[in-house]
Amino acid sequence: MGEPGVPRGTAALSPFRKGLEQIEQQSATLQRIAKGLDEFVRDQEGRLAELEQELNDTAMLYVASEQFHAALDPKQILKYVRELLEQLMGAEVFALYLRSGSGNSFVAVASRGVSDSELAQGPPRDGPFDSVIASGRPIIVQGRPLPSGTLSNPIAAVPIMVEERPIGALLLAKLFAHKEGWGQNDQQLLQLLSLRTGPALLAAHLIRRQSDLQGTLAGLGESLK
Amino acid sequence: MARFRCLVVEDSQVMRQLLVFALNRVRDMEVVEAADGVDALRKLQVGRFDIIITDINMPIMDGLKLIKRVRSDESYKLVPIIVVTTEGSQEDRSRALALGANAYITKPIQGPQVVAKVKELLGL
Repeated sequence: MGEPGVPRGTAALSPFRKGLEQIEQQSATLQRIAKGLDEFVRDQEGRLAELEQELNDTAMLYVASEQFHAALDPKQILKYVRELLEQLMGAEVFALYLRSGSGNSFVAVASRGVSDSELAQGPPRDGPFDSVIASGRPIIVQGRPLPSGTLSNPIAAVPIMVEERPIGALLLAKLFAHKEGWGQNDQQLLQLLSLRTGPALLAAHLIRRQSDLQGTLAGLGESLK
Repeated sequence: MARFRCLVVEDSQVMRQLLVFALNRVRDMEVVEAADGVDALRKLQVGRFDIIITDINMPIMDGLKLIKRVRSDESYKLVPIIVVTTEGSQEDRSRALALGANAYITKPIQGPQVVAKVKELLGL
């Protein structure tokens, strides 16, 4: 027997049902909020990863660019060019040629994976090399996986510019086997090499030839007054 | 004072700069640079390091010899070693891992990839 004033049967369960419904509603609301937060966190993580990647790419270009401005020795600059190509781009076979003398002959000044006898022959003519020297525009083969090339048939031929004139060209024949194709930064690195190598080498060469460096530096200040 | 210390062993100045830049993004991480294996051993003797990142092809002492020497030192037996190299063949990878390297990353590297591996090996 129930006590007087206390609801019996389904009526007795009613407040619990109501409470349960409220809890279920709150649970559904919390689940919605949690789902929204999950999506937000995922979105932010993705954005953070993108930003980290962008930061990495910018750092790479900054480091590459800084080397050209810091060095005053032509040999050091060529060492940096090799490092940029090998370490940052993953280039396995390449040769950099510069104009030699006043004629139309070129000499190899930096390379990797090319035999001395092949380098001694000079750049392969009547192909991409002559095209980029004539046009001042790079030729870059696209594709993934990128096929291996040769110096006659390179995957990239890039002019080395000084004041909009080609003074040489970089022929890139092959990337490392574990690198399938061009990376996100590679085009920018090639452009950087195209535009910075020439002026950096020229400036370093002139400084090397200058016997009175102190006097030249003093003269620089005077000339800029 | 930094909670973690990382030794970066790399002869290429360009690559060292990039690695240092990426690793400085890890909270509480101090990065010390060495230009080759001998320089690295000198620095390992005078300081405590929690992780080592090394290239393979270096003058004076290469990365493989360095790993061997580090693993023979009781105090560095368990310190994680990451190899970062242009050598991408399976043979090179197996050799480095057999000598005691914990991870093998081929160049060109992506900073976030190296940082993720460092964090994983340090349990961060």
